[in-house]
Amino acid sequence: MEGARQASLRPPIGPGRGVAAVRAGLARINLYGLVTLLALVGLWQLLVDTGVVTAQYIVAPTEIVSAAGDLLSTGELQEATVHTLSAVLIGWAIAMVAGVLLGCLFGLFRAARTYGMSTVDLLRSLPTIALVPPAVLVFGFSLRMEVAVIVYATLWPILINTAGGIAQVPRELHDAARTLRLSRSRTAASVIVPAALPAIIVGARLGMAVAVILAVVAEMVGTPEGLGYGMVFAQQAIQPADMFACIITIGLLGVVLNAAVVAVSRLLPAVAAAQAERERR
Amino acid sequence: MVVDHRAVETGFAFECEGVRESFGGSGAEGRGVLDVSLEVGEGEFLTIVGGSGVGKTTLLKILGGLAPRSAGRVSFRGRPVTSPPEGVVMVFQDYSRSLLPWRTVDHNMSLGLEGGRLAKPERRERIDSALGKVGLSDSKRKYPWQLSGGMQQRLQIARALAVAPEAFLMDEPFGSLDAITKATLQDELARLHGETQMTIVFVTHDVEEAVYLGDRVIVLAGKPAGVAREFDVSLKRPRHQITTREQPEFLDLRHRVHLALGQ
Ligand SMILES: Nc1ncnc2c1ncn2[C@@H]1O[C@H](COP(=O)(O)OP(=O)(O)OP(=O)(O)O)[C@@H](O)[C@H]1O
Ligand SMILES: [Mg+2]
Repeated sequence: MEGARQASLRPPIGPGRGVAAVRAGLARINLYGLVTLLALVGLWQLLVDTGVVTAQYIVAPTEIVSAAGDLLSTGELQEATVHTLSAVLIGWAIAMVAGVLLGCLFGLFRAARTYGMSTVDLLRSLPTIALVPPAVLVFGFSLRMEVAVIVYATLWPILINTAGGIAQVPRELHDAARTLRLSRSRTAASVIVPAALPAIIVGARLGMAVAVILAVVAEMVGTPEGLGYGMVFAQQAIQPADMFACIITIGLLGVVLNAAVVAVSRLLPAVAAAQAERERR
Repeated sequence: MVVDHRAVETGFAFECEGVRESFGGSGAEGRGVLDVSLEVGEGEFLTIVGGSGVGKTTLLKILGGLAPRSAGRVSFRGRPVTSPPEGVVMVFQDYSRSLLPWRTVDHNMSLGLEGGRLAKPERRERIDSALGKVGLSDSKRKYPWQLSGGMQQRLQIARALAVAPEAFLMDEPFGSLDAITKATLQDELARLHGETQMTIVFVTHDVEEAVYLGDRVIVLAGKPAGVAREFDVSLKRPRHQITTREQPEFLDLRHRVHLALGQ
């Protein structure tokens, strides 16, 4: 009966939730997908080894691994990764705070939308990458420049998804809050913003991807540090294996950061509930 | 109870005079959706039937202060309704969208009591008693999505009960439930009405349900929609799903309400 069906459902909240989230995350790793990936890497190796691909600067995976090993032993790769990671995390965190606050402002207050939305639409349609050169002029070749560029680019997806998530909250929830005579501020805090959380997390994930891209771009043309700089440096020194080692590290960084946002967001009851509801269907 | 009893003069819970809604339309289409006058007595169980899109939800929302009206007067216990009045709670058809999926049953229950003047123990007591009344005491720690549709609707009813209302406005609350669950909830609601003496305005498109539950049935029809017919139901309470529905008066009313609906 009812009870039996529910007994098998793990509540999304409660003790052991962190451990359960990690286990669920590991269970979600798709082994078959990994097989395809490894097969492609194997094919690449084979094409280079057999001389089918002879382009001078296309190096075999084994060479990249050994280059990465060298870069790790000198500590260069770690140093570059730490730099890029800190720029991404600092910029993303600032953009999260500002984007969620502004998104709530736009989502909750019609006047804010009326007066502010055109400005937002204009600003976010500027190509952010084109803002790197002026940012270098203003902030110099520094971490501050990098963070400023990341914040600017990352702000928009977070803001737009937050405001959009609030706009999508069903009429029924608004009506339920009103008929129960909740104050406006309590309605926002207890009903509307939690209901918009899954959308806010989508914004946070998009923002994280954008932050990684912008960090790399800023390092390629501005800050003389980090993985983006390492990549350009290796290219100019004609060290293709080093260059690919940087590129692959950047890719891995993106994957890990996205997974981290997903894992942490599952600790939020509203996100866990939305997930559980979806899985039940 | 929290409602100011001085305002009770007329013996009516809701009074609604010349209430119109035209959703901003003017000219030809501005004849509007609704043009209704009606009264609902204290403690009355009024059921309203009408076809799809006739304006039942709109009327209920106007009574509950959830929607503005284009014209007319609405009052609850003699006081004009401009926003949701204290003591009036609406129960929605779409229970799954009206509950907070991230809150347990228990926490959903407290939504209407947060920020109120109730002390913690009294709040606890309200919640427990309301959950008891709908038979959800054993599901406090579950989440809405772990409940069946019937249980979710029970939860929405209990959440409304917890604020100790004087009146329920119910918009096709059992419309999306299966027949067996529907019958059970109908009887639970009738029992609740008997115990609490609440005023209930219950909208449905199910004629039998309207006759089975109501003290009075109103047929909403026309364009703009108004009270087309009214029927007093004198079937004795408590009513019974099998025997009441076999009584000549029930069958006769059912027949006449169907005719009034033009079916
Ligand atoms: N916000 C709105 N703006 C414009 N028209 C509306 C609005 N809300 C409802 N209407 C119109 O008013 C009419 C009545 O709608 P309402 O939802 O009250 O009908 P109903 O009787 O509850 O229908 P149902 O049986 O489908 O629930 C419909 O024709 C609908 O299109
Ligand atoms: Mg309706």
